[in-house]
Order: sequence, then structure tokens, then C-alpha cells
Amino acid sequence: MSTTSLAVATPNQNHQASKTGRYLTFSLGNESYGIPVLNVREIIRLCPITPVPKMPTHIKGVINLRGTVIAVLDLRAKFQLSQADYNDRACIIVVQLIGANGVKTNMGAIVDAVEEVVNLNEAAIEPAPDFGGSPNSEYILGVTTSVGGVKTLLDIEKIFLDDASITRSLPEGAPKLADAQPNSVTTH
Amino acid sequence: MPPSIIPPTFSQIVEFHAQLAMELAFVTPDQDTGLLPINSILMDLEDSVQQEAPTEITSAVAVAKNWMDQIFDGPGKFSAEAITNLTAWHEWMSQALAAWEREEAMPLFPAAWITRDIPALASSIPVESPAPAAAVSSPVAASVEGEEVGDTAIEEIEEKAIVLNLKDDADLLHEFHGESVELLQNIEQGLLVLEENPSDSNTINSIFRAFHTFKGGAGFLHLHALQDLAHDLESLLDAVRQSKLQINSPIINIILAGSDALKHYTHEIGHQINGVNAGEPIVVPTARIIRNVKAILNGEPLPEETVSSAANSVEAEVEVVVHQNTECVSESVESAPVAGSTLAVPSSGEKTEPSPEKTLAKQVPLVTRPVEGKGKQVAVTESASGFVKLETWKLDALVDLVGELVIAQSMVVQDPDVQTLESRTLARSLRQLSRTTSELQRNAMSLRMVPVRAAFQKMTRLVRDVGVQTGKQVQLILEGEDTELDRNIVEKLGDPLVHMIRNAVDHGIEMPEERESKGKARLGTVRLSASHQRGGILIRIQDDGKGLNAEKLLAQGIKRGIVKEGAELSESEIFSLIFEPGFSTAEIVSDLSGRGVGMDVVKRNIESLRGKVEIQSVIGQGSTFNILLPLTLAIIDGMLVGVGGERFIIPTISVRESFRPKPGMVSTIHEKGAIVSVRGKQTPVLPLGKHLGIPTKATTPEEGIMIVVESGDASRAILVDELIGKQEVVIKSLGETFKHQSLFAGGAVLGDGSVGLILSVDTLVKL
Repeated sequence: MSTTSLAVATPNQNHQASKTGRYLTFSLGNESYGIPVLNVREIIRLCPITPVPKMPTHIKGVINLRGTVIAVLDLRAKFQLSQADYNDRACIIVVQLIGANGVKTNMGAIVDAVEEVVNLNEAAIEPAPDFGGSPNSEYILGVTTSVGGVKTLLDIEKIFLDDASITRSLPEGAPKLADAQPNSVTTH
Repeated sequence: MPPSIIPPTFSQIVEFHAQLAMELAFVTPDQDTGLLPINSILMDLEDSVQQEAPTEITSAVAVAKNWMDQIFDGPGKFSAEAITNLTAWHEWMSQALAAWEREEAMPLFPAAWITRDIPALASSIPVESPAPAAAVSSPVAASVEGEEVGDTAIEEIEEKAIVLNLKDDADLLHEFHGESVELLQNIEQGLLVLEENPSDSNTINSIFRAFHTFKGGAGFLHLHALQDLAHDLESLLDAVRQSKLQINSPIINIILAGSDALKHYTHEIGHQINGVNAGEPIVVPTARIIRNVKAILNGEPLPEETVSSAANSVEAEVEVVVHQNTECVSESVESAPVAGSTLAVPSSGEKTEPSPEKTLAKQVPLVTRPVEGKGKQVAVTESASGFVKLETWKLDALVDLVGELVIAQSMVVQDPDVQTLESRTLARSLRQLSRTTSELQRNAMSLRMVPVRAAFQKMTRLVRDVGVQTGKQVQLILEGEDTELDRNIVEKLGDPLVHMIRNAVDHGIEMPEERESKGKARLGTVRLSASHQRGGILIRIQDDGKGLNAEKLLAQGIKRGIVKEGAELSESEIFSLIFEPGFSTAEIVSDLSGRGVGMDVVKRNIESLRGKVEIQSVIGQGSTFNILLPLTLAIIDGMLVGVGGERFIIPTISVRESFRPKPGMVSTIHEKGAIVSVRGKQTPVLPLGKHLGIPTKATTPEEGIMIVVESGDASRAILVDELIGKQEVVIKSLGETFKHQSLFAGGAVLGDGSVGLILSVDTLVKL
């Protein structure tokens, strides 16, 4: 699979109503995951990421996506997997989310490699196993074994929206430049 | 009373209520200032209290609306009683809203309101509204025919003429003209839609709004004749909007006739702006339209005799209409609604009539109007040539794309592979590309820049009005009106400017006698200037009035608990107290600001534009307000600094200076906090690398660079490894993920395509 633009889809339907649908699968270390294709805007090659100091480790930083600044998460760090260097198969999956206020936001997630797009119906998806809460099971839509190996299906919106509202202990009320300026990320 | 649930519209109601406070603060007895906005807000308020509001509130809004209607029908300006009542009403509403929110019992509904009349106002309403001073009565309904046409109905109709103040209001008139042409076009188109689909409430609303806007503009320029007509047409549409009236062809006709009359005025205004017949009074007969509108509103049939007499006299009129010039066209406009109301829809000209002679006669005036209208449009397009109106987002998108292009260009030029090529033609082409792109960028940026002139000139009027109201002699001197600013900023600058200029005249400048006794000229001066400074724009409002009394301010601050007793405040800190919400002292602030308009709003507005306000004042000599604004909201001048391997951008507007510290300049306190002495001033040092957790290259301060930044009164010397350069950057939001941090104000795409983070100086100086 090429690492260029793969799918440009708008998440215009609520995939949570039914889990049936197409999923983009990718790998993190030895594990395999899937996210609904409807959320995926595009897949880009790993590019230099500007780190943002004083943020949680799983927030890698920001990149310039054709003129728009988007945040990039490190899914390994997010899931507290062992850290490893990314090789040249590593990609950034750009997902589009619709926040609580109806604003579309793009965010990126670094994965080791993108695998394929699979069609899954409801029957092929098993509910998330109960680990007693230790892995972040609230992010997990379900598990499928129907396309070879175990793939964990993730609720990408939950993962990202979590990070869309990270709070940090900095003085409140300091005016933010970006808020005042009209062309925010979401206008693109 | 039953506890009412707080509906979602509550916040909206509160918002309208707050807006009313602002507007009420500006009303003055015997002036119409604020009349339109207050009416408009009350209408919005009326809409929002329709559902779920307690009856007390709904009725109170109805009472106020009723008062406004009385003012509109009557004197057309506020009387002192009306203002007292409205203020009392507003206070009552505050209590009522608070009670509602807390689900407590409503305050007692004042008995006096039940009659719905403004006490002592009813009696003062003259039966016939007096013609405004500016109006010149003129021989209307054009002389002889006029008498023939409607012997009974017309006799006391007096047409108001408008005289343009071309000298003082030239720009405003130009703006008004352009806007009006557009509004009238929209109205006409809307009416055609309504003809097809009379119940289209969106269109009704949009026509209503258009008339409302028109009325506002006309009112602002004191074009009473236009304002009155627009007001009546607006009322008619309001009745339609509220389903009190059903749209039918007489109504459409009369609105068309009205908008044609307005168009005629607009056309004449356009002429006069271009120097044709400049200064002459413009008379367009509107009285009959107004009367017919009123008749429809009151549910009366249209005066029968006018109709028939009009019909009879039309034959005589036709020739006049056909052969003569504008004067007669205006007459045809006047007679049109009458004919139209009994007859045909103007657009359906093919409608057959029993008497061909009469049909022709009646249709001539009707037909001439659209033609006339077109002629005007052509004229307008010509006069407004060189201007294109387009949606802001298109402009923003263009500017963004150009920004990308510039970056892409520099990426190509700086590409290592390209640089190894030793081709002269390539080098030349690249240079050409660089030149073109930077030219393109400059052009694209300039698209958003507009001169502050229009915003400034509105203040001339304001100063004149406030001066007259307060009995002060004030002149406004404008400087640097050609200075250009991002249009978004200019738009948002209007309100703060109005507040500050008004304050300067109202609180700053003394009464002529007082000035004389202090040895100043009787004529007070307010100076409004714009200039480039520190990479931004400095707007300065300077008055030679009494100045701010720091002692009284401080005393008030302590009394209100904003300042701790015994605190040592610098003078500028004390002056800044006036920006505290609700701050007022009887000595410095008159009843105007006491009514809820605060400088805190001004400060907030300016800060939302990434600007800042500074105050200088010498008691007895006057005050100066300096507003420092960025040139544009989207682009800043940035200083690119390096810390370790990372690069950050510091907005140049906040940078006071940068230098490499010499040994001995930096001293430490308790071996931790360092201070650097900059020209005798001790400034705390903020080692950026250490603060951000980035290993730095410089091991001692002497190896790094100090960048002294300031925000408000606080300053810090930021210690970085190196100064990479200066760059204009397009600010990009970092998005939701970084919404809750305040260390970085945004990101910017740098020359190599990567993102640089823009440091928020406001946060840094507090660290």
C-alpha cells in the first residue's frame, strides 16, 4: 500500500449506531488495530514534528498539513506500549473529528504501518474483552478475528476528543492569540 | 408566582438586556440617538420572551415596546421622561431577570405601566409631528397638477426635503449610497419573490431587515425624509411579519412604490456625491406613500377619492411624465401607489383593463419606474467603479493560499538538491519566482487592509453631537486617517473608539467657562491619530481636558476592594483601574458611564484584537489613551529564536530590545532567580530552555541572548540560545488539543515547511 492519500471520507454518519462498516487497520509493534474509515481524512508520510513543550508525552507535537497546523498523537505512548523507533513505514493517519461544538478538527496519529481497509459486519465484531479496566478499554469498540489475527477496533473519536481537551495547570485567562484570529484550523 | 423553568433563551434575553444598557447609556433628551437600536433590540427581546418567560417579563417588554412605538409615532426623539422611564424599566428588568434566574418571586410590576403610556409623554406628543429642522418644506405634488389630483386629500401634505451635508459626511454618504443601492436591490428582488410566494417568511424578514438597516443609515445621516419612509415601510412589513396583515398586491405595490421613492433619493444622493447639483435640497414626494402605508396599517381602505381622482387626472399627467425631466418622474412615483393600489401589479403589465386609454395612462408611470430604476443601477455601477464586494472568507482563503505559495517557493529555493544545480537560467527563474511571489503576497495582504479614515470620520459627528449635548465646545483633530489596518480590526475598533471619544468629551473636556478660568482656550481639543509604531498601529486619543485624578482613582479602588490598602501602585497601574469592571468614581465618571457602560468593555474589545491600551494623564492638562494594535489579525512580525534544537517565535510587537549580556549584567538572588539590569532597570530573567525543559546550548547567560519582552507593565528578559531572524508569520490556531495551554499563542509555518510555535508573551511575563 502506498503511503500517499488513501481515503478522503467525511464522518457524516454516526458509526457508533452500528459497528458494521469499513475499517482501516494498522499496526503498532506486534499488535494490530482498526479504526472506522469514515474518520480517516488521509494518510501521510511521517514528517518532522515540532514538539510542544510541557504537554503530555503522547502528544508528539504539531505538523503543517498543507498550511493547517494539526496536533499529532503518538498512539504507542497513548496506549502505554513499549517505545520504539519508527521506521520508514511509519505514517501519520489524519482523522477528522467533530467536536462537541460541531467544529471539525483534524488530528494526526502516528502508527508503525498502515495495513489495509477491511469490511466488517456486526457479526464479525466481538465485544471488547474485560481486562478489569487495566488497558484503556473505554477506547475499544470491539475485537475482530475475521481478517486474520486479532485486531482491536478503536473508537478514534473517544481517543482524540480526550486529547482535544487536555487541561494543564497554567495561569488561566491569559489571552491566546489564536483564539482571536479568524482563520482557525477548522475553516480549512 | 409559579416557579418558571429557565428556558434556553434566557442567556439571549440577558444578552439583549445588556445591549439595552449600552444603548440606554447613550440616549439624551431631545435627541433621537439610540432610538433605532433600542427599538431593534426591544423587538429582538420581544421575540425571545415569546416562549416560557414569566408574564411579568413579557408584559414589561411589551410596555417598553409600546413606549418606543409612542416615541416613534410622536416626537421621534427621547423626552427626559421617556429616558427616566426607560431607565427605571431597565432597572426593574434587571431585578426581574435576576429573580427569574434564582426562581424567586418577581418584583412588583409597577402600576403606572399598566396604562402603557409614558407618563407625561402622552400630553407632550404633538398631534402632528413637527417637521425636523433640517426639512425644508417645498412645493410638492408638483404645483398645479397636485391640486387637481387630490383636492381633499393632499392639501396639507408637506413633503420633506433632504439636504446633504456633503462636506462633513462625504465618506459616510458614499458608504450609505453604496449600501442603499444594494439594500434596495435586495428589497426589490425580495418583493418579486413575495409576489410569487406571499407567505415566504424568510423573504419577509430579509426585506424587513433591509428597510431597518436603511432606516438606521438614514437616521444616522439625519436624512429624515428617508428615515420616515423607511420606518413606515418597516412597520408595514413588521405587521406582515407578525401576521397582522396578509401580503397582497396592494401591499406589494406600495412597498415597491416606497422603495422606488427611496431609490430615487439614493440616486440623487449618488448624483450629488459626484458633484451634480451638489447641495441642493432633494425632494421626492413620499407623503402619499406614507399616508397609504398608515392607512393599510390601520386597516382602513385606501382613500377612495384619491384613487379615482388620480385615475381621472392621469391622462393629463401622462404627457408630463413622458416629456419632462426628473421632477415629473418623481411625481409619477408619487401617483403610482395610488393607481397601483387599485389596479395592477406593476410587473404584470399585460393585465387587461376595460379602458385602453386609461390603462395606458395608468401604466405609464408604473412602467417608467422600473426603467428609471435600471438607469440608476447603471449609474451606480459607474460611480462605484473600481470596487468589488466579496465575501471575507474568499479573501482569507486567498491570503492563506498565497502564504502557502510563499512557503512552497522558499522550500524550492532552499532545497539542497536545487542549490547544487549550477544553472544560471534556473537561478534566474528562481529569482523571478521569488520576486513574483513576494509581490503577490504583498498584494494579497493589502487586500485586507483598509484606511482607518471611515472609522475616524464617524467620530467627527460623534464629537459634534456630544459637544452639543453637553454644552461644551470641542473640536476633533484627525491625523493619519490614511493609515491602513486589517479590515477586521477596523470593524471591531468602532465601538471602543466611540466609547473613548465620548468619554474624552464627556468627562475629559471641561465646560467652556471652567476652561477659561483655568487659562485654557474655551475650545477643547480631542486629537485622534493613527500612526505606525513598533510594527503595529498606534491609535491615540488625546484630550486637553481635566485629566485623571490618580488619588481619587486609588481611593475608589481601595474602597471597592480592587486595591489593597497601602499597596504601592505605579501611576499607570492606578490609571488602569478604570478598566476594572464596574469601576466608577463620581468625580471622573458622569451618569453616562454609571449606567453600565464600562471601560472594561473597551479593554476587552481591544484585547480581543491582540491590542493593548495605555493611559497617560496629567491632572489639569488632559489624558492620552494609546491603543496599540497589530497591523492585521492574521500576520505578525515575529522574532525567530533558537533554544537547543527548537525554534520559537516571539511577537516583535512585545519585544523591547535584545542584547547579548555582558559579564556582570546578570545577578542572581538566592542563587536562583536571576535579574538583569537593562539601562538601570532590573528585569527578571526567564531562561526559556530551562522553563520548557529543553537542554540549551548556552551554559551561561553570557553565551545566550536576552530578549526583553513586555506586556502591560510586566517585563521579562527571556534568555535564549540564539536569535535566528525576523520573519512575518501567518498565525495558525493550534487547535482544540492545545486550547487549554496558554504558553503558546499559536503556530506558524516556517520557511522550511515545519511549524514554529509562537510564544505568548502575556503568559511569559507572569512566569
